[in-house]
Amino acid sequence: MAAKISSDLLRGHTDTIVLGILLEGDSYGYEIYKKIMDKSGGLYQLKEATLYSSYRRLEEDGCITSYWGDETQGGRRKYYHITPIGERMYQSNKEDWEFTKSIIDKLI
Amino acid sequence: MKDQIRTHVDRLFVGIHETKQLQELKEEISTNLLDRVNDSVARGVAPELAFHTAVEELGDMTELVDSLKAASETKWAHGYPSRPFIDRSHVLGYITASVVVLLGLLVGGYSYLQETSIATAVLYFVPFLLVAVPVFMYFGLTQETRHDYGMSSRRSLAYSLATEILILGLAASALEFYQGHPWSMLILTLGPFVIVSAVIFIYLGLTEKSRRKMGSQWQEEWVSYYSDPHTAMVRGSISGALWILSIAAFFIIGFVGSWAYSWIVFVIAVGCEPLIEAYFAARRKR
Repeated sequence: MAAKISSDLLRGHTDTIVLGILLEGDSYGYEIYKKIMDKSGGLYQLKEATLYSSYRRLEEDGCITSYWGDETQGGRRKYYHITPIGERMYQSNKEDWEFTKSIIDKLI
Repeated sequence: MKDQIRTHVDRLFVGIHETKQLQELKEEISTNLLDRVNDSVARGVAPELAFHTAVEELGDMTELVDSLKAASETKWAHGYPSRPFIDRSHVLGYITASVVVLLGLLVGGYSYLQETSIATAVLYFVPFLLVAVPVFMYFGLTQETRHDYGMSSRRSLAYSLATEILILGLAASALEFYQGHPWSMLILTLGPFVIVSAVIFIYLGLTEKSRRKMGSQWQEEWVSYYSDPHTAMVRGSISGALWILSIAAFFIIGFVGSWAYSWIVFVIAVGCEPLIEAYFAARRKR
């Protein structure tokens, strides 16, 4: 049987995943989505709705800021930029995750 | 396709107060969906299928909708209206321009009472108008509305500049007229101003882009505008020519003949507009 991804487990890390993408540079919705798909090798079927909730949360917490890009054929793109608070959040979440992972590995 | 996407996104957020924040979110989602559909279509997927896949993979929006609903309801409960499109700099700009116009009226009115000459009153009023008109124009063009983005500040400045040059020319020739200069002199004065401002206007007109937002009720107009930019340009040029000619005729008839009749030109011009529109509407149908 092929291994399945636990979407519940991943959902808790959406914010960190988004912050990780933004650490590479400013980006907008569809591009962020594509990068996540590419990085996971297409194995993680993330829903865009989850991402929009995530941007909203992160922006409210001051982890990211947003600005409008130039108009394209269909309208403007909303770009996101990571703030120093976001960078610290990413580091601490990453450390937490590595610690958790090491314990789960021992237990399962 | 844009229509379809926009309608779908609109339907997701039914029942939430239409704040600027919500409009921006809808715009963001629509643009991303469109990017995604275009991407699929470029890879050879049929547009209809691409749309349905994109919408399906958008996923469950309830969490987002609920959080927005809660936010907008608390906002309204506390009596805060939605963020208006007019920001502080625009409010200041409009107020400044209005104050200048009022001051001008005051000064003009005062001088009229002193000298009972309309010419003098106008003479005092014009400098205020020269300041207020470009200010109004600049802020009017950069103003974002429900359906359009604001123009970039550089373009707005160019429009204001072209208008300023034109009214400067008109003011200068009017001044000469009151001083009793001959006709040839007036045209010589007005000419360079008209030429410079016309060149700027024509350049701006030809390089103009649509600033229309993606909106369902405006979609039809928007799509027809984009489906044939050439017709739209011809349509705009004819209207522009009509009004420039009317203004010219207004002044020529006014100066040569009588001001009592010259305004009729504008009535004729207004009457011509629907005819032009009808002609293009009939062509579009064909």
